[in-house]
Amino acid sequence: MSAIDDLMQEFGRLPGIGKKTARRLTYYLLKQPPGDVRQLAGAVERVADEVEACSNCGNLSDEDPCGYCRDDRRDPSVVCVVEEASDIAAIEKSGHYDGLYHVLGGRLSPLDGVGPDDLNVAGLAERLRDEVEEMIIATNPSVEGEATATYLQKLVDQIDEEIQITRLARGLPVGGDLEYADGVTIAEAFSGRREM
Amino acid sequence: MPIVSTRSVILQTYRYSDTSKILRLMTRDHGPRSAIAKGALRPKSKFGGVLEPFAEGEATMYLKDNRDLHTLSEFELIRDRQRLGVDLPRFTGASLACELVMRLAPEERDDRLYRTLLNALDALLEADQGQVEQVALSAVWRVVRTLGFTPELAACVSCGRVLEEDGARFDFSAGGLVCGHCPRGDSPGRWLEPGELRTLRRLEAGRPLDASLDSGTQPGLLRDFIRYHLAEGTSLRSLEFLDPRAFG
Ligand SMILES: [Zn+2]
Ligand SMILES: [Zn+2]
Repeated sequence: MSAIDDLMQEFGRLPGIGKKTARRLTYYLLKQPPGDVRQLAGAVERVADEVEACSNCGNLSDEDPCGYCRDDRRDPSVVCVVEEASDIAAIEKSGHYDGLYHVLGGRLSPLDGVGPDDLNVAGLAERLRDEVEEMIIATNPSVEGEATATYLQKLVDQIDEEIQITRLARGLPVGGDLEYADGVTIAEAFSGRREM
Repeated sequence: MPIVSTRSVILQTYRYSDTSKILRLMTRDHGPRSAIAKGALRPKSKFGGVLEPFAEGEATMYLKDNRDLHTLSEFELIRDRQRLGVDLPRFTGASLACELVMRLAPEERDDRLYRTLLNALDALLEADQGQVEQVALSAVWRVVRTLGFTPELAACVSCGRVLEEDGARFDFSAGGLVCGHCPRGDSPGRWLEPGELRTLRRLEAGRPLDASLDSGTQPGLLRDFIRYHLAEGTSLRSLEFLDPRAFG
C-alpha cells in the first residue's frame, strides 16, 4: 500500500471520519511543511508512549499519580465519579468543583457486553475506605448512566453507609453527554446535586 | 425514497460522530431496522434527547432499498422507559429482550412480537422490588416463545412420553425435555429435579411463583437454552449478565 493510502486508511479508522474527510486530511498534511507534519507525528507518538491511566483515579495523564490526585489544594473528602477521562475536562471547565475524580472507563451496558467487572470499580471501592465523605455520581443522564449510578449507590452502601452519595441534578440534557454540556449547565448540575 | 411512519421501540443506541447517533429500532411495521439520527447529540437537537434505549415513539424515516442504514427524520415520543435503569435485573432483562428481538426478529411487520416486546419492557418497569427477577425471566421467556422457540416442557422430545411431576433432562439443543428412559446424548443439557421443573414451567407460562418454589437455577436455564437453542454460533452479549452474581 502506498504511503498516502496508508495514512488515509489510518484516518478513516478514527471516530466520525469517513472516506472523504480522511482524504481531505491526508492531502492537507501533504501540503504542509515536513517539519509541521513531524510535529504532529511526534505528538501522536508521545501520547502513545507517555500517557497512561492514573493508578489512583484512572484519569489519563503522563504523570502517575495524575495532576488532580497530587494537587493538595483539592478536597480529598469528595470524589466525583465519571464515565470517561474526557468528562473531567468538561467538569473542570465549569470551574465549580475542587474535589477529586474517579474514572470508571465506561458505563454498564449488557448489550455492549460491559459489566461491573469491566469497569474500574474495584479501585473505587478501595479509595472509599479511606477519607472520602461524599461521592458525587456524574455518569451521563442516559439509561446506561442511570443504571451505572444505581449500581454504584448499592455497592457503596455496602462498603460504608456513612458516605454521602449524590447525583448531579437534572438539567443536563437527557440522552446527552456530559462532555457536550456547557460550563454553566454543569456548574448548576453540581450545585443542585441531590442525595440518592 | 419512501418516507414511512411507524411505531418503534429503541433497542440500542450508539454515538456515531460528535453530533449523530445510530439507533437500532424495532419497528412495528418493518421489523428491526437501523437508522441514523443526525444532530441528535447537539444540545438543541430537534430530537430533544429522547432517543434512549427502551423508549417507544412514532418514528418517521426514509427507508432506502438495499441499504442497511436509514435516516430518521422525526421521533415523536410515546413513552420513555428511563426508569429501567434503576436496577441491574430490570436493566439486564430489558436489554436481553431487546437483543433477542434485534438478532432474531424478521425484517417484516409482526404485531404480535412488537406487542410482546412492549409488554416485556412495561412488566419490568412496573414489577415490585421483590419480584423483578421473576418478572424478568417470565418476560424473556415470553419473547423467546413469540420468536417461535417454545421449549417442549410437557412431553419427552424423544419418545413423546408425557412428563408429569418427575424430573427430566432439559436438552437445550433439542429444545425440550428428555425423559429418564430415553438414552441421553452428549448434547448440552441439565437434569432438572421436580421442583426446578415446576418452577421452569410456571416461569415459561408467565404464571406467578409461590414462595416455596426455588428459582436459583432459573437464570442459568434460560441463558443456556438461548445460547444453545436460539443463538447457535452467535453469542448474545446480554446473556453473560444472566448469572446469579450480576442478576441476584
Ligand atoms: Zn489521578
Ligand atoms: Zn423419552
